[in-house]
Amino acid sequence: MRFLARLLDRAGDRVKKSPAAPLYPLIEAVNAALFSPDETARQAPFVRDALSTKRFVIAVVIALFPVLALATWFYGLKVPVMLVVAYATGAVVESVFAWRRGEHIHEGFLVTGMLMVMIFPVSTPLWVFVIATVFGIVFGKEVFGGVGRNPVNPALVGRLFVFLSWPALVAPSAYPEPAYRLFEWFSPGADAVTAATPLAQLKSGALPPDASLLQLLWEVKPGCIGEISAGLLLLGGLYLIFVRVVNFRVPLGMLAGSAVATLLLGIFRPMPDLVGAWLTGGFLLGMFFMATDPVTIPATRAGKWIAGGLCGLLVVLIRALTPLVEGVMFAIVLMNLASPLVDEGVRALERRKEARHE
Amino acid sequence: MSVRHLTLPFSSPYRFRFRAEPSSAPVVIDGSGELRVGRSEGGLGWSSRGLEPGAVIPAWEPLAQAATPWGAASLAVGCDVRVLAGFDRRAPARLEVAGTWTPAPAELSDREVWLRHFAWLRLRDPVRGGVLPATVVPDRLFVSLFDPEPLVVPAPVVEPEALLPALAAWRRAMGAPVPVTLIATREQAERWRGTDVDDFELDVLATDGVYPAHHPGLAFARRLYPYGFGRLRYAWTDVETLHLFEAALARRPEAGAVPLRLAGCRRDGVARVAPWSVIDPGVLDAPAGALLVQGGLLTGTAAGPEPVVSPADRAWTFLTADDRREFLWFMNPGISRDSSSPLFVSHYLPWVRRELGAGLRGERRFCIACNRCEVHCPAGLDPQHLWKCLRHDFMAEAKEHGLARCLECGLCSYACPSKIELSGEFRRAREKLARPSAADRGQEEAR
Ligand code: SF4
Ligand code: SF4
Repeated sequence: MRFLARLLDRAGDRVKKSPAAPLYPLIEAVNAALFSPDETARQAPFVRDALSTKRFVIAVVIALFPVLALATWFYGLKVPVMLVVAYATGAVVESVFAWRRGEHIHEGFLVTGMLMVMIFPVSTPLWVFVIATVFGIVFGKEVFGGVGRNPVNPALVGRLFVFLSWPALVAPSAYPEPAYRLFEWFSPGADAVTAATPLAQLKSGALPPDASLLQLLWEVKPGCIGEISAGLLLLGGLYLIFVRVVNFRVPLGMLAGSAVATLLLGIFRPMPDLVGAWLTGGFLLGMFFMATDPVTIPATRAGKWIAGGLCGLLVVLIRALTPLVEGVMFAIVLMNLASPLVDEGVRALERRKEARHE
Repeated sequence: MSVRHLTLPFSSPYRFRFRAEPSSAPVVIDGSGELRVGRSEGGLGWSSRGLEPGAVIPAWEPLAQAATPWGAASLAVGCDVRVLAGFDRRAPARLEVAGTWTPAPAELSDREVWLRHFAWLRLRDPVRGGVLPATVVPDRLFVSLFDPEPLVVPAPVVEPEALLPALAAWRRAMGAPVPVTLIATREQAERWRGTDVDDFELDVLATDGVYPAHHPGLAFARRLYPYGFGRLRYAWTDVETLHLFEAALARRPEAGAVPLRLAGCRRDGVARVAPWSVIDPGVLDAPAGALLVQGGLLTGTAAGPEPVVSPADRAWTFLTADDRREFLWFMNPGISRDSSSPLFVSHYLPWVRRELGAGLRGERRFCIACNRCEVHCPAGLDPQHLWKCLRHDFMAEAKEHGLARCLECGLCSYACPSKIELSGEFRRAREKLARPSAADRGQEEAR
């Protein structure tokens, strides 16, 4: 491996001096992606934690991997192909922007690409999927200056864009029923075995009486790719909280917020099924993997609780009071947009409290 | 009160003898020549009179004095010095060593010896950061029994019998009944169990001693200490400083030389060094291209070409670049030993020895708001927010958010996965703030 590292180093040096110099960032990017850098700290502290952003974001991909594997089993080869397409598109867009900015390629698109696959139904045509990925990464992230500066979750931006442009393609009224298709290529015409999602059933009345909560947790459900198993999402989410990659405050806040909203609704109409709402649709996916994106949520602790609560509240209200079946996407984006305001408010309150103590 | 920081750098090559003992014995560095005296000590404004060129100032005579609410403090060194250049507002004085190190004279009271000594032995304030003026009697003294900074040197064995006289001497000089808290590793704490101290309050706090939890500042953050620190003044020091105080108060000559740990060069070991001597790193057989870090690895500084021994630096470490470039390292199953993150399996295996790496081990990135810096910050700040304020030059907001409370402990930079130089930025910003503006200086001139 040292041989490969040296080869890349030398190739980089040579390209930098040659007329092909504009290609240098590309080689540099491959080098940086494969090998950790050999830079040392030049100012205090001279010891640094071995954790890097790469490892930090790769944890999310690892947490979602079981879901991806299960989805491949039930939806066929199109699922991994979608992931490859998302990564390839993301890498191209990311490289172009990194090159224009003279920076390294940021590994954030590994998470965005994975989430992208999770939030689309398998029946989505690949071209729509590519458009969503490009739009999401460019307008959700790059125009604001790249990872760390994006106000909203880029995957959701892409998804919302195509959702509003081609609603029939990305949010059909019926989703394919998961069935063993490991070596098949999913085609909407032939595989027209579709079913109403539990979420839609929940909205139109109640879940069928034979759908117990345990079943909702452990059985595979029709819906977007990532919604296939609530159980695996729960495990992945708990793993991320356990290793402190995501903050527990937002998910807990979301649960509390949705409970409050359910109780409020219960005053006016028959109370919606709270736990059912948690286990159906994109609630768990959004709660653990999208609402917790640290860049787009408030930085203060109190702000995280508030934002989580707000998000949970919005999910239940949108699901119950609007014609939309699923409200998680909109709720998270609205919460993201409110985050800076929440932070400002919390900091102002803290300052006032400190001033009173002085 | 605006604080003026004065420096008296004395620069010229320092001649010294260097004697290397067999590997187990301490290395000895001693000699005579010019010395530097830092005058930023204790956050006091110093004034000096009679520093005429050519004058010889006897050992322990004050070089400069400062008025404090507790009386005059003076700055002195334990040997005769000759003035090479006088002291004025712009050009700091240069002094030359004209004798050998001598113990403090008998007619000085303990309190006076203490006040003169603190010119170079410092107490740190673990809560507010910076150096506590020695003229201030702290409300509680924390003594770290092991090295508070991550070093290659193992924690020393500290016997209660050896430390208690030093504590007693220090308290005599303070003239006030200051309670003491020892910060110990679990094994060290065992030794102190049942130690009977009748005339003063002594607590022992056991920490797990594993980096970085053993950092006193971090221990504060984890509320390990059962003390509120809202309005009290705490001081923090280490065993060696205490022993040097004791030696000075007992008029023993070893107070004139500070023990200095050397690591990373061929002559690893402990050296006794005259403070403010300039040492040629070549003599220490440092590896080629090594970076000399003076002070601990968390808060130390990279030395220039003429490293000067500051008594506050307990260690010198020569760091070499870590040229292991790991293949697809970020995918490893998490057995990295140099991390405090629970993402690594090693986090859950208490028997895995922690190691520390000098390599960055990752690319520099923009902040991803992961909050790790906030979790590690002992001062309870949100370094991420502070850094973003400084980036946009929102000085007022940064000040409001407590830039002044930053301890410059470096733990935020240590933990940051984006490898942002947080504490370095804060230090520079604070320096900028501390430098009196042109308007302030005009006022002073007018006075
Ligand atoms: S901001 Fe950083 S350097 Fe300052 S006290 Fe907090 S962790 Fe230490
Ligand atoms: S540790 Fe670094 S990346 Fe994480 S929030 Fe702090 S500054 Fe940002």
